[in-house]
Amino acid sequence: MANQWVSPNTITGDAASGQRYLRRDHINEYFWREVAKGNHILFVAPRRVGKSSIMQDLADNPMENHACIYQNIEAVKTKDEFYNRLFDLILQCASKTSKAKIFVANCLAKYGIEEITKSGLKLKRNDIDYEKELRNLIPELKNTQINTVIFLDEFAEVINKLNKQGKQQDAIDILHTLRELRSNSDFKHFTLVYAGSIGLEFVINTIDRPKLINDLHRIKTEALTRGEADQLIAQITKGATIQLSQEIIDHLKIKINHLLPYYIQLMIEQIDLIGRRTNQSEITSVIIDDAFEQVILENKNFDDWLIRLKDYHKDFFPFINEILKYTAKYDTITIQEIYNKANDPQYKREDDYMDFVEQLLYDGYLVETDKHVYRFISPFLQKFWLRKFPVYNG
Amino acid sequence: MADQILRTGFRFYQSANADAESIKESFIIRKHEYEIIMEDIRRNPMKGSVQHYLLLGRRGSGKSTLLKRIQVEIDSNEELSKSYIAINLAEEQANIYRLSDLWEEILQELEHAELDVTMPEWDDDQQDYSRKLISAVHDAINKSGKKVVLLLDNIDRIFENLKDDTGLLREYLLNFDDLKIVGGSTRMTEHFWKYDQPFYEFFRILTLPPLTSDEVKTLLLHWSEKLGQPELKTFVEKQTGQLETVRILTDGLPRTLQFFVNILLTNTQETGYEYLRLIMDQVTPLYQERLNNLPSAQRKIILQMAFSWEAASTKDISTLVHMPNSGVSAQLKQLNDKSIVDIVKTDTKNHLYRLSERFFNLWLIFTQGSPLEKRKARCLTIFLENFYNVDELKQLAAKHLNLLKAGKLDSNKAALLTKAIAQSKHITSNERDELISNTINLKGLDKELKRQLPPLTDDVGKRIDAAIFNKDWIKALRLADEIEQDDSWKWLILGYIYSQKNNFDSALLYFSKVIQVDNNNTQALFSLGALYYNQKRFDEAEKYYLKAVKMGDCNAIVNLGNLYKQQLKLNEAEKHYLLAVKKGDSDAMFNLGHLYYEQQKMTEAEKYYLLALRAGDSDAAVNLGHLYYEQQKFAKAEKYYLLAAENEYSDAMVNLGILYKQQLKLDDAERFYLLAVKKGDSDAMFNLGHLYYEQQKFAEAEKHYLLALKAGDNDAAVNLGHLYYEQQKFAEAEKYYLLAAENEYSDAMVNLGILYKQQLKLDDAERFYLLAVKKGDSDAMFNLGHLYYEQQKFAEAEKYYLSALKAGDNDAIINIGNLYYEQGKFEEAEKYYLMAIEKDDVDAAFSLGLLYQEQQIDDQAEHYYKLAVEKGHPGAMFNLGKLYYEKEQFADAIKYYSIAIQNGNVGAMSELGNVYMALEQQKEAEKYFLMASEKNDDIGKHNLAYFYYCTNKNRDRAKELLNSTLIEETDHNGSSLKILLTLWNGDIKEACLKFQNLISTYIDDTEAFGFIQQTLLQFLVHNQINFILKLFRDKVFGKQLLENCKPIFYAASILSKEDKVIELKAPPEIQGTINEILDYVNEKRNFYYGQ
Repeated sequence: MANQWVSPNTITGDAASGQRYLRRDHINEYFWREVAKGNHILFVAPRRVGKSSIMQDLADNPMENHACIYQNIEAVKTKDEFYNRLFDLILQCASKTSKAKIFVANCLAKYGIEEITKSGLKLKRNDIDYEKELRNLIPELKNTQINTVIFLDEFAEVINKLNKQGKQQDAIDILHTLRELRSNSDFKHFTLVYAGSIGLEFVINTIDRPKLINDLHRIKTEALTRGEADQLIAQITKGATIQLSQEIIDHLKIKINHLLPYYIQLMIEQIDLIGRRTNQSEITSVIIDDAFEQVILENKNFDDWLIRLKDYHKDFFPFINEILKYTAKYDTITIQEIYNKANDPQYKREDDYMDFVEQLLYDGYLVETDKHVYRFISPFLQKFWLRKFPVYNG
Repeated sequence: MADQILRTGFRFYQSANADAESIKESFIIRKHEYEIIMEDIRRNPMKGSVQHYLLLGRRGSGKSTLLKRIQVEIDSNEELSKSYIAINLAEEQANIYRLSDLWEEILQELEHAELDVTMPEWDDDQQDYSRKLISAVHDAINKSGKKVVLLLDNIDRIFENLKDDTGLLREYLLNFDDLKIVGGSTRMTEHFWKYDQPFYEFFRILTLPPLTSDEVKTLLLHWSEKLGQPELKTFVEKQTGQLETVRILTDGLPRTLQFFVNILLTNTQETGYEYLRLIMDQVTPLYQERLNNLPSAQRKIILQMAFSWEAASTKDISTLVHMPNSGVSAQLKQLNDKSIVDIVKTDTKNHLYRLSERFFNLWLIFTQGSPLEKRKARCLTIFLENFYNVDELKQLAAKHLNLLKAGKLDSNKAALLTKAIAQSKHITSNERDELISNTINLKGLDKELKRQLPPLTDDVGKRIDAAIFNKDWIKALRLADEIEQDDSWKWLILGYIYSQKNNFDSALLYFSKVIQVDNNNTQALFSLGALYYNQKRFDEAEKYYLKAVKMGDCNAIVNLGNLYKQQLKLNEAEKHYLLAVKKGDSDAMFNLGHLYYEQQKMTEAEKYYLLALRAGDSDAAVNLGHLYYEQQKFAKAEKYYLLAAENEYSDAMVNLGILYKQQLKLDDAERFYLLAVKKGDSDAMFNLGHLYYEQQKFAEAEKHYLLALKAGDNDAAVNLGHLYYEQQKFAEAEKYYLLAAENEYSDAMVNLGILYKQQLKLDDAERFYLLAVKKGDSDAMFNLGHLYYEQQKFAEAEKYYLSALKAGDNDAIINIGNLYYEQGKFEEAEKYYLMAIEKDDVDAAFSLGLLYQEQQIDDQAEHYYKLAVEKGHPGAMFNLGKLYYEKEQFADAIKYYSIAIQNGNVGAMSELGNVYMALEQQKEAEKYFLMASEKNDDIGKHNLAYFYYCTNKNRDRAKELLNSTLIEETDHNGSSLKILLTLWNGDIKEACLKFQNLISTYIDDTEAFGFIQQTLLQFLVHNQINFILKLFRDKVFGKQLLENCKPIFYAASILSKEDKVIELKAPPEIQGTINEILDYVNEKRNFYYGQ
């Protein structure tokens, strides 16, 4: 029996692509419009929201006359390594298109490059000052007649790590250099796309250099609409043994609430597993509820989310928790309500309430859905909060 | 093949080494997880997204086998092997300490797989070296055109070693799609769930749960077939209960299950103990290694946890291992990380801990506990009960008993099994006692083991009796519960405990259970009779007593007598008592005596009491004492009371105390009260307390009242309240009044009301007055009326005053009058005042005087004031003085003020001073102002200070006087006088500032207007013209001030002489006033400054 069972084709963890990814054309169109305007882009979202999938899809499907490369750079540990990496990426990107043949050939000669591979450049020399050479290299791109788009995933993480390791100046230098590259009129035909789950703005605020990124165009990563969620579910369950009626899919969507692809995929996996183990292909709402509980049960570490808040924000925890308790109960919270709470004599946080909201956003608890409306990113975390604080009279 | 497996045993661990075919064949479980992964591998050729997996399960749950199975499948399947290379780092993973180690291992494996591999040169910089290795791996894989499935058992340990480098690993996995990881782990470490860790929610987690019953069956049937062992199949098909036990005891872990199978196949053992020990021997190498790998502190902790068997708190464990809580807590965390200990979460912060594998726990007890470890047998019981059904267990018990009797068993081993079986609920208490008594006497039995044998039921009974005597119900029930056997004996005991505890339903349940199995059980019949009797269900009681009588129970006859007496069937009662008396029952004699006593048949009563006394019933002496006391035969009463007292009857002692107190033999009374107190008699405590209270020995009184209270005498609470109140210990008084109030004592409620009112806790006062009113207490009505009156709740006040009056409290009359007066209901007020005057209430005369004075019926006012004055009412004297003062009949005013002063009225002194001021007799005036100020009267001081100002003398004294009075901020008179005195004293800047403040604060306050005007004038008097003009120009209040005090402005302007034409500007209608002001200022300037 088990042999005949076909599971949905899901992906959880790695960026989704192909049949397991649902492209939202409006995001791609919007992105390219902004790139065409000459904007450099910053993708803002906590982890598990789907930034990498979107970026990879954009990189894999460039607009005409654009060459793209996506790379996760989270392991970069020094300033020099970063410049080296960016240098490599520009050449790797250029080498993907025939339009940049001459540019690439010139570079091979100039820098003594033996080979350009997917994992990097093979060089004869090791005395290149990459920072300096980037300034030489990028203006040359205009000769290629194409726009080179470099997607730097987990860029914020790199800056954050440098900062944490006491290399604050290195971090500032990188930001300065990049800002300079972006603003220099000679450096066109070149777009940088940043992303980072910890929120670049937040990291930059901690080193007090907000000016260094205020030229970036922010793109928020939204949840799926109900219709898009239906599409994704249909896409990943196509040909699978489990059968979900529209009514059941609606139930699933209500359960997940904030429809991020990751949580949809996670639930579908769990539903499939229960179906398999109990040999039920017709999925019922009971199975969906079980799957939801099972995810919470198997992920016993939600406590960490609570402890983290208590540890980091000891004195302010009651206020932060008040926001989360309200959100857990009512699904969303508006800024007016938060301000109302901040004005409560027991909290008195009318001057700095926004700092806490931002922390919650950066730390991956809440997400801003509509303007000034917030909700839990994870339905499981929301349920956990609700269980932890069942009595809320606010 | 089957033989070979049997001889060598299964390969239980290190499954990565087992041969491919046998792995394929014996892969029976974990098929879902296998299929999910394989389906993904087949369907998604790792272009773009790559799904990585984490298999989560305990040791022995089948992770390694599953990983191996995947490897075998990829290696052996033609299609798959074209596209994939499976790398299974099973043993090699022990060498991985850094990320570069992992890549090196992978490269070597790729080399083994005959890929074109270029090993990079070693580089000191780990990051660079790792990147080079990554590049080499990527190149090699890329060139091969294949993808790699990396199977990593114990991936958690690898991640732990990689530390910060996990980021680089994730980077690789995200940037390149040529590597799929399938990891195995016993635990979810923080790498997988912490938000700031690279691999946060990166893997798809597949949990390997305990095997289900069906899976266990499938597995065993598979083995049965493969090993050619039909017994196994028989076992699976017939012994389903035991199979389930095996599953539970092995935690559904495939590996442990295999040990059982080996035992099942070779079991020839007779006793359960031997049988179990053999199983243990099988698992020993594995568990021993696990134990040896632990640091000693953790070893100690898990041993103690094993011995306690149940989940335990950190505190419990730290007590057992003699380590501090914090240390144990840290070790437990590590043990949890190692998946050896489970956390059982509770609602509180204090979670419980237990060993994860129950079979490991069993093993620890059997192998690590001392042979005498008492818990060992307990665990054996658990095992036996799980493993055998009831019949089998009974057979085992019988067999064991026979062997015991035949002396065929080793003593110590026999004792262990005896204990195990004796603790089983499936045998009877008789069987239990027989087993125990046959074991106790075995030769060579270890002393400690002997001590640990369960007690005989008789011994348990005695201990329960003691617990019941001490009302320690929990202990009694616990003791009863220690008897595992569920039979008549235990039920009778439980019924008895519950009946003593007054838990009727439970008692009934247990006694009835006995009757159900033995309907002639006298003890149960009698107990049921008594139980129903206590419930006053006499018909049922009679029924069971009669049944018990039938079984020859004499106690039942007496109780029947009691029953009939209760139902007033006195003849029947007498008849049954007489029947029992004939049988020599002393209770019956006593009860009969009492029956006659109640019927006032004193002679018969005396006879049977004396009979009972002779038959040894010393209760009878007390009753004889009462009998004689009632007949006022005090000497005889004293004699029998003394006899009873000798027999320690506290009632008798108390009564002796009362008797002696009546006879004013207070020392004797005290002595007997004290004796009774020693016996815990609460009446004696109370009486003695009262005796001391009457003798004003408050400390002793307190002590004994407290004792009485503690002994349940609530009267004592009231008396304690009084005692403390009298000594002004209000908190204590409150406490005891509250206690008494709870017990419905209205006195206490009233006193609480008074107490709370004193403390201004008016709501509380009201509450308690109301409670007492409900009890009909007239004091409470009056007090409540008064409380409402003070709160201006007139309707309520009227209601309760009237109630008090109705209840006979005449004090209420004047209060009712006052109430109406206050409300302006003068006619009603007059009526009640007159009513009170009739009752000689002098206050009423005064109040009526006041009423008329307010009505301006002066002659009537005079009349009633005089009436009150005659009765010495000082208020009336004062008021009469004031009446005359206002009418400017100064002589009469002086007369009555003087009388008032003589009667101690201080206010009259100042007033008299004012009279003399009016008469311009300054000396006399000063005399009385001084007199008042010496009496510390603020008005007197104020007047004296003003007197000094007006007479321009004693500046310092005047200031002193005023400083010594309390001047409220809103007292404009006081404030402005203070400013004047400051000005007059020369502290001009201070005075100006204060005055400016005063004006800015009170500019809109019409009441302050006059004082401001007066003070402005005085400032002019004291030559502060520019300051005054500045005030008129003040941006904030200048305009308003000008509006209010225009004449002064003109006067000031004229005095300033700056504006030559100002005099002409002044409106003619105020010209006169301006001139008056100027005259006054000039006059006073002259007075103060001689200008």
